[in-house]
Amino acid sequence: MTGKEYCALYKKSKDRAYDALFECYCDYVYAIVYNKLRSAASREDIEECVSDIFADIFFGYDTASSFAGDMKGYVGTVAKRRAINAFHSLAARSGHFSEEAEEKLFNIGSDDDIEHDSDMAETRSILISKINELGEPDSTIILQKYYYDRSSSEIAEQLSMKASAVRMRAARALDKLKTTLASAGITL
Amino acid sequence: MKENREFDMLENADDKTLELLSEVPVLTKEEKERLLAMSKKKLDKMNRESNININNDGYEVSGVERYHRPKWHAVASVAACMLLVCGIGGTVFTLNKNRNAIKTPFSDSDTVSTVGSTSPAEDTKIIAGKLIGSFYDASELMEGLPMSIELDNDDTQTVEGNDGSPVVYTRVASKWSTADELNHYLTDTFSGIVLDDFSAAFFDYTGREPAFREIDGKLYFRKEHDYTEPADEERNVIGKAAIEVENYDGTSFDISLTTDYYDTVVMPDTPCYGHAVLEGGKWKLDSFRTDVASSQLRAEQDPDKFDKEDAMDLLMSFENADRMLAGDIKLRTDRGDIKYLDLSSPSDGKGTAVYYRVIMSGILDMDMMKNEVTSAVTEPALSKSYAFIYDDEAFEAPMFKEFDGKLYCRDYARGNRYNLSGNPEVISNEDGTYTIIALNSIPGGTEKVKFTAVYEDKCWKISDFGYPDDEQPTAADSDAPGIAKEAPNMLNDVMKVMNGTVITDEIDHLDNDTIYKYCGMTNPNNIAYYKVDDPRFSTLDDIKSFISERTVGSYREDLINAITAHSDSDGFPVYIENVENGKLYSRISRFGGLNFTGDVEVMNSTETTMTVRAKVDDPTDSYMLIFLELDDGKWKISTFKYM
Repeated sequence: MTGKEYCALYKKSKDRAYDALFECYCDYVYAIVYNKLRSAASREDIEECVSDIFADIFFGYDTASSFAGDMKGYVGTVAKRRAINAFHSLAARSGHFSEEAEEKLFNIGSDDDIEHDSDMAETRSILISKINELGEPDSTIILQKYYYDRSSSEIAEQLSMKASAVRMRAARALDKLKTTLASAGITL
Repeated sequence: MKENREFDMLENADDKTLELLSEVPVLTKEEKERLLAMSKKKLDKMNRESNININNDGYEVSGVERYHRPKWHAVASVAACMLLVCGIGGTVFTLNKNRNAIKTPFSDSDTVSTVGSTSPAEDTKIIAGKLIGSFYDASELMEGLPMSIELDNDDTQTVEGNDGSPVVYTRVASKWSTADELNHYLTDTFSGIVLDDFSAAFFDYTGREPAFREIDGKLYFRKEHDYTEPADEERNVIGKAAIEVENYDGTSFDISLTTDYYDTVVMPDTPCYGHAVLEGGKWKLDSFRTDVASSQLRAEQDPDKFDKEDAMDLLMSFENADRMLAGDIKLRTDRGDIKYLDLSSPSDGKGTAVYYRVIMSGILDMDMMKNEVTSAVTEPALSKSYAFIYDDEAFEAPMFKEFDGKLYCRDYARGNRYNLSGNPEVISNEDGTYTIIALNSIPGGTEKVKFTAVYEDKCWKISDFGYPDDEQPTAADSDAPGIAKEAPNMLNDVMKVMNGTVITDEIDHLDNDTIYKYCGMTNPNNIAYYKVDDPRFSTLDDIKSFISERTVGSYREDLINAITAHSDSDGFPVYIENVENGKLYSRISRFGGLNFTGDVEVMNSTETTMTVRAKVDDPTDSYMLIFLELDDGKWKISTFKYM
């Protein structure tokens, strides 16, 4: 969605503009937040953070003088910043601050360990490509189950399948993925 | 927090990986709706705080400067929660009672200044009176009642509503001429949650057209009800003496009052509580609740007298319990305060019950909720249906439930059983009970329904409900039981087919390009269509014939349209006929059918219509009404609903 499209919609109806922006970027924002908070937050905390981000964007995006191009960069920046703040709040709230987690969080994009970052990026790239090789619906199932921590019944509903089929496919796909990753020297 | 650690390496990923992860569809439609609602609610708060800051800084918001009007969204109205038991919103039990409205002697539109009100003297009572009067005026406007404003009926505007249907607005000819003026009035008079609710209803009511719109610089009102001023003697007036002010501390005070009547329902001595705060030099009402629960604990009734008036009052309370059971009571809830309850035996097709926190209601806890229901309903009707509203021992996920001592309402609407109208007939029984016969609106007409009223705990209550004996099937309907027995199976067959087929070839599936071609939808990545291997269906026409043979009327039309329309929850059709290879493809059904117990009863029948009551275990011990019609010599389903 471009800023121009958003502003045009906003002039007609703010509500529709909010709805359209949300529909366009909710998966993206959720992915960013989940990625940052996965190990530290509950699903409710993650939802809280996602809604904060959209409220920030709805409130703060200047429709009068905004950039006319793609809004994804803006949305992504707000999301990442908010997610990192949320991570801090959650860590403070829980009373124990994991230095390791903190370190991980702030090492992203830093130049401190370029080699490690590069290795990690490559490993992730291989993992994603191997997951994609599983084909649909297995690639979606496996990410939803083992990364997004969704239950089989939730995945089943999303994909119009039976929960038992999801369980079976997930287990088989994970085995297959482990095998193919092992051949690439990666252990899950 | 997460148990699955296999993919930890994906955490804190780079942008490219994030892009790929965001393509995995995770959020369901319901989750998206909830998140969007939460975001908008937070936006409302930010806008409101932003406005307060402007005022606190001493800036005057003028007509020239663009006024940053708060964007409000709320899920239910103050009046609807005030009227939890009165049922003004939605279907109203339209007994022929005169509408008695509260009209205070203070209900002018002047905002309340602090001049002369620095001590807790009579002045604060006058302020309280004005605020309460303004509150009731605004409540009426929120419900579409133009009682406190004048309208120019010659100046109307028709706009396209949220659902595409035309909505007529009539120009406001008094009090306010623009939306900004009205908004100033609201922000000068109300604060907190009261302001939230009125602003939402006036300007941007989610799922419903706002009460006001500014069109071409003029203010228009959406009149929902024609209202005739009641004669003065019918009007109930809150006297000054009824309003009490307590806990005055210079910047806030509590208000309490009792009312005798509100709207269509008699509620003697209903206690109400408000709170006023001093903001920006003005007194504002920031909370208000009507303690309908205690008002519903009705006064002691005469065990030897039960007339038509008593029956009407009792049915009104009963119908509200019915609406609570159906999830049709629009309580004000905090959609951001959600509780999830994992069900050990999924009762509504999903494994989790969702509850929203009830706020600003006169009903504060489960005991009050139980009193509410049991003040109008008793055994065996309670166990038969209505205990599902509050009984969390008998039911895993009742309509209302407490979490951490707070009351939550389940997000579970399934249609109410009764929509009563007309004058009920009261018949005295030999055992001291009374039988009430009333008319119930059903699709396409009305039906007679029967209630039993018994005297218990010093008041009359409904102990049973059903159909009058003379509405039972006659000898002419000798095959009625057989038809009734088949009705649940027929309904399940239809519902299953409408949800996709279970017999599919899991290898032969459509690729994304083909899905895109037929659906015109983007991102079909997560949608799987498999070839239908059910021998009954090879084309879309087979599906349509199957539906046509089992359904009739508008229900049939809706279903047939839905087969190929993009009507499923995610916008994709259930079936696709691939004309290139002539094969029929379907999404895999996730619907295994309702658990009918086999307990069926013909409740009503004519030569061409029949109403069948079928027991169903979704949720436990529920009943469903299946309406049948004779069409082309065959009994078909015209509609159905939960009892």
